[in-house]
Amino acid sequence: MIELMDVHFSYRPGSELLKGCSLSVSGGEVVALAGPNGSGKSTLLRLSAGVLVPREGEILLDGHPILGWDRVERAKRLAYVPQKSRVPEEWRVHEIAALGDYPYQQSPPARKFLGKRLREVREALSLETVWNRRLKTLSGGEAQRASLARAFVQDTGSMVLDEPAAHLDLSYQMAVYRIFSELAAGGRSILIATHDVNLSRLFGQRLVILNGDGVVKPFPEDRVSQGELLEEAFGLPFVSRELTGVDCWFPDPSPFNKKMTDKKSVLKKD
Amino acid sequence: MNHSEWRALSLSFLAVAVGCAAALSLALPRGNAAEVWRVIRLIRIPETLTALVVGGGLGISGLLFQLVLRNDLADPYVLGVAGGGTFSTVMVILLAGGASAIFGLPVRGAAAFAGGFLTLLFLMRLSRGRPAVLLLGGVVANTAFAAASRLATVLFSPTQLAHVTAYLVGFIPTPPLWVPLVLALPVLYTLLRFWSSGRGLDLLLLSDDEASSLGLAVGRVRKEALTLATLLACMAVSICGMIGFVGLVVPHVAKLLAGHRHRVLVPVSFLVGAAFLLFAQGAGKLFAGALLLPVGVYTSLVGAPVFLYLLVRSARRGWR
Repeated sequence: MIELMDVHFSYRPGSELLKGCSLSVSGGEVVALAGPNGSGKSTLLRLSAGVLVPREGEILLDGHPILGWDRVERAKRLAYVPQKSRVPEEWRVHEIAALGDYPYQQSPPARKFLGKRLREVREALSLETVWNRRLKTLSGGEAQRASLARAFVQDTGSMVLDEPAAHLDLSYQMAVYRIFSELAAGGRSILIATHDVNLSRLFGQRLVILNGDGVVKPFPEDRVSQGELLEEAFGLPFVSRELTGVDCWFPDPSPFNKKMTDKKSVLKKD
Repeated sequence: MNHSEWRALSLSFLAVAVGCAAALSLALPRGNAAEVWRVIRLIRIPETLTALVVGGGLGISGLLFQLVLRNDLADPYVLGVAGGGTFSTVMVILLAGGASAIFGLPVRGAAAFAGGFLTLLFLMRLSRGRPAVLLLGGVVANTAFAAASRLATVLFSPTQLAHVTAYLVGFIPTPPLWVPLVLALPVLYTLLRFWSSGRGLDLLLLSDDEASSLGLAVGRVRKEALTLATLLACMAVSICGMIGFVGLVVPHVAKLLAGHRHRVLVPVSFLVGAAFLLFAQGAGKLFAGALLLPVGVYTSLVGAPVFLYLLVRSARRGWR
């Protein structure tokens, strides 16, 4: 379980990025965090993973301050996948996945059956065909799945994943969100950052919005408030369409289409 | 360990064995067996052991510098660590007198470590993570320290000039047998330390966030690796002077042979480094009749083109 209580953070004195964020991700829950570029989503995730220290406020992992956990014990409880991994490109996919076993090798009891866990993850993420290939030979989506494999092998009660569906094609996006729901059904707490405000809700997952004012807001229940919150966060008009009983939201393209026909458009030739 | 890692270890071990045989047996004086054995026992064995330990230590040192600084061009020579260590050692030799060269080993070692470590800290602070500044700073530091060493020699003790000149190029001395055995201790410690925790070094290749989230104490491991790299380099410097480019070339050969897992890369770097210096020493023996040159000349002859190749490759890829 991950809890953030009134968290403030700034990279530079005088310009606060997060201004009192509170968020709780319980066991059995997937929470998707959406928001515009530069709103602080990745920063909030890094704080939740214990790799950044908040200026004010408290962050708890399984009921204890996250920075109070022993480093290895914390790694057995929480897995973190950043937006862009820096794994060397010579590494093979199975070597990247096996990194997830590192915390279990550091302190007893060492985990048995790593091979079995690797096989399960390989199958769940459809990595069979690229399992022995080097990272430099993979597409962006395959590399993304290799990073996810490492976190899945780490097999923790909480997971913090920064844009885990970026670079994935539509079928893998669906597969990954389904896996998140399955993992959560097993009692895990999962916090993800995303740019898709619909996909997580279609899978019955909770959406929260971090808008430009540095505060996390829950996605409202009623349709009118949902549209207002999205417009406020992204500065765009939104339209909604109902899909399998869920109101899905899309940026309204009509103002952009109008702009395309406008003679003053900077891209239009005279 | 997988098949290619076993092969890398076996090949590099074989290279060390051949290198030892060459360094021990090439260009022995002609005479009766007892005389030849005396030369082997009193001169060749200490020399060979020194080359083995120093070459291996420089190989590991280069590997650790390249890992921690994330720079394929880093090595104790290029970074100015060897230059700083050499200058400190030369000063100790000049101030204490040439006779204390061997007996003052702990003092020389400590001086070399202090000089090398301070130079590295200064250059790291100056460069603030910019690789080009770090490398140029290292080149400037080396040149400045070499000039200062020569100047100090002329001012303090002109009779020491030849000795200090050899020291600035790098040579393998003939110390008592206990010297290479003592030098082997930090090398052994480093080998054992990273045999048991080599995966921690692997994680240093990830981003700090990723490594930390996997349970690695990133700062502690980085400091430990940097300290051991400096210690091994300065240990070599305090005995053999500034042997260039061993730490640069060896890790690249080791990676070609053994892949990227540091549990295997560290011992393979030791063996390749040892073999490189033993072959250089063997070459010195072979050409002894015509060209009695310090071993650093041969390592630089091999290392300089490799450095240029890596420099061009790094520039093409963009500085990392």
